[in-house]
Amino acid sequence: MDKKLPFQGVKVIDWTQAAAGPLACRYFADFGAEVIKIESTKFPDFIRLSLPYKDSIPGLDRAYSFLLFNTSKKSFTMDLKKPRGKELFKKLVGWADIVIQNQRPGLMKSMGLGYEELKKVKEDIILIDLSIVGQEGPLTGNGGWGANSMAQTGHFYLYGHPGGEPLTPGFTATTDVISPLFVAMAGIAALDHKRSTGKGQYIDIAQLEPAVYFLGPGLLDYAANNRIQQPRGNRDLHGAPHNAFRCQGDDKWCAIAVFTDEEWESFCRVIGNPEWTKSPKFATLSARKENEDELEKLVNEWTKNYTTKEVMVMMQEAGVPAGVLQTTEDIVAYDPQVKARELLPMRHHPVMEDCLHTRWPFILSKTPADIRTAPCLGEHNYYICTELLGMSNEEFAELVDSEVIV
Amino acid sequence: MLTDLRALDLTNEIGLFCGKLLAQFGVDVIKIERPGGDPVRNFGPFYHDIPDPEKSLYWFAYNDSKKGITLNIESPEGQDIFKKLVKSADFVLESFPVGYMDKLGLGYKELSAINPRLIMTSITPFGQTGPYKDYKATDIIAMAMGGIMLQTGEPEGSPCRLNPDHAYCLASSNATLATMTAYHYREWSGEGQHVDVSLTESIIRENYHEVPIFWESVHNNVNRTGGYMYRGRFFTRTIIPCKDGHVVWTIFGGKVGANDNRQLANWIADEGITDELKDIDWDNFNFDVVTQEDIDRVESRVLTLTSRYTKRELEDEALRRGIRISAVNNMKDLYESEQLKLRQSLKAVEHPEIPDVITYLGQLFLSNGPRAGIKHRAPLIGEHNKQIYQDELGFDSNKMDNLKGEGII
Repeated sequence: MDKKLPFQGVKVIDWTQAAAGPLACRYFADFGAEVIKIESTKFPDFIRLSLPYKDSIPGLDRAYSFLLFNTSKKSFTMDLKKPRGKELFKKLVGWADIVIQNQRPGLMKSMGLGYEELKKVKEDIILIDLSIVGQEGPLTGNGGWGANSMAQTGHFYLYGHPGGEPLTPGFTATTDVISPLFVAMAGIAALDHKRSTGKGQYIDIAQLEPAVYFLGPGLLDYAANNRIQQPRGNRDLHGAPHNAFRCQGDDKWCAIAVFTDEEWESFCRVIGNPEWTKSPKFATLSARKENEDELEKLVNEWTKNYTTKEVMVMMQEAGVPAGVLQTTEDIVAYDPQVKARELLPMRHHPVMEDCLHTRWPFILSKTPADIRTAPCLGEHNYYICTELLGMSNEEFAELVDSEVIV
Repeated sequence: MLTDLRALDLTNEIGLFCGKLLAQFGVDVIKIERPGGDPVRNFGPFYHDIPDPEKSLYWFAYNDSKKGITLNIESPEGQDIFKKLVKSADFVLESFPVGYMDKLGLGYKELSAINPRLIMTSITPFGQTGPYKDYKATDIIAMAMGGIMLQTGEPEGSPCRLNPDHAYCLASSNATLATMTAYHYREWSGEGQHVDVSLTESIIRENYHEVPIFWESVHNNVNRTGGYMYRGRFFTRTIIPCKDGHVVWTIFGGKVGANDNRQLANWIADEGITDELKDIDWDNFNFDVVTQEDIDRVESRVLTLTSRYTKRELEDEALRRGIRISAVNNMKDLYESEQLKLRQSLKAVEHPEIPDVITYLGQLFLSNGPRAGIKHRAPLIGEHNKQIYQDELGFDSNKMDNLKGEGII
């Protein structure tokens, strides 16, 4: 390997499906770990069966979601219900540093593959169980999807306009994006602990706590003041104007966020210092907050005459935070920042051909991520058995014949 | 965990959460504030609504487990002191405009010359490079540019950001992970590096389903759908009103959804609402062929059911029946959550000055080894000046008085 990557030499077993678990494992893979994703042709990661497919043709190696959640990994298919499948899994545990799984709580243990069993195979193994609310407890039986998790963690309650109904950000499950980051942090901390003490670790991480951490001030407002924080929409306690404003065109908006006096003065200058800006009703932040409805109407009267990009650039050039409410097309096809920083790199997939991939939202100056495309189902079966586990060709063929590798 | 490591935290509200997380993972994090205190201390809400820089709950929430010192890094002497601290530090965290640290002579180049093992993490609106690198962005601007805002809202209503500071928390979480990754690399290579985290990229990447999954297949922009999800051919309701708020339930087709759908049909029949959902062949309820009318028929029955009960009643009964219904919790619900109690994730933290104990969510996960969690409350203004400047750097009381007099600490 000519590139240096932070996790080179780290070995991960990925027995996860859907979004959050695969993304956590993807993180280690993109930064250099050898990550083996366990599936079977009988029970592939169900995301392989999720719309949308490349060219709308169904196929286990054609789902965009799977591609984007599983880059840089290797794929291994086996039947874990067969005793010899379990044996094979344990062999792989002997090879691994970390096992990450997000199957239904309790399933791994009931299959005889819980932490105690894995520890017998490898004393210093790190096992990370990821779930919605934890491996045990009153709500564990529910399981659920990203939407359940956004509800349980208090997020949905706050996604909305004041007095309005809770809103969902399209199909996006924010908790499925938050939790993989924390799984990876826990994994790195556990590797560090192992390096200094020689000890492995068992980690029960849920989507619950990390997502609730995002609501810190609101939580303390209840703890200290008994106040249940309500959705605040686009306004802010410490800024005004602070909202999305209509611009030229259909459903075109630009967000403007004025916090300091300096920003307010610059803002007034950009819009040509009209008479109303000199009114005492808008002279101070507290006055602007008091007359915010009127203020927003006046700002809209100005913004509606310009395109979103014009408003953003005029404001930004004057030092006022402003940003276009970008459509997907704006981001993917036109955003010059996205292009310049290659946030959506093109990669070639053997079945899906050239398509956009993603990198993580940060760049490590000496060891940037190495994004390789996702594996086809069972693509690395032979490599894993022969090179990683040292089997002969005959042994491999026999496992295939007896449908242990399947 | 990450012990025997030190971070110098110069961030503003964009990055405060990063230092908090590192502190909870075991790092000795020193929050460096300007003399007089950080402006974020003026952010509400406040303890008992008393506006006071030592009573900001916003400050408490994002600075627990850190130590705190004051230092003016814009003064030459302050810069010298900062460089002394960098010698023995492992991490510098900052969220100033791109180029600001360079101008002060405290950029990555200068600092890594003092300490080659240093990892410097910069959290900025758009990243260190590119045409927008000098543009400003706050939470709402990142939500706008990241595409999430335009797709959140009622179909005919205005777009809406997610909860306040969501973008800050997400970028800070990314920064923590990136910093830990650079640390892991340093431990075997000996090399420090510069970590460039983008606030706006954090939101673009959060918007994973549209960018680029959905775009790649249909080349279409998604519209706002209120509490519904667009499933390719039809809409399904995600957020469902009930007697005292809302619950969440998602309908799926085929095997993935069959059990939920069947159990819910039974429940609806048990309630005397209708038997007709029981007749549907749920194993073959195929999303490739069902119509909006089919979905609406199910959802209208579900609404009749949910309107009869509270969110807690619905969640409890759903749990008994094996249906994935969840309550839309608020802050009170979270504090009363049996799940968080059982996991012992709520921690009472002493605040001797208030004087009161405030309960935090203080633990990120469970483990048989070390856990990441809260160590103590946020620092007071300059609380650890004596420890850092006198005990560690060996300044005498004369020097301390002079530095104070000159407004350096």
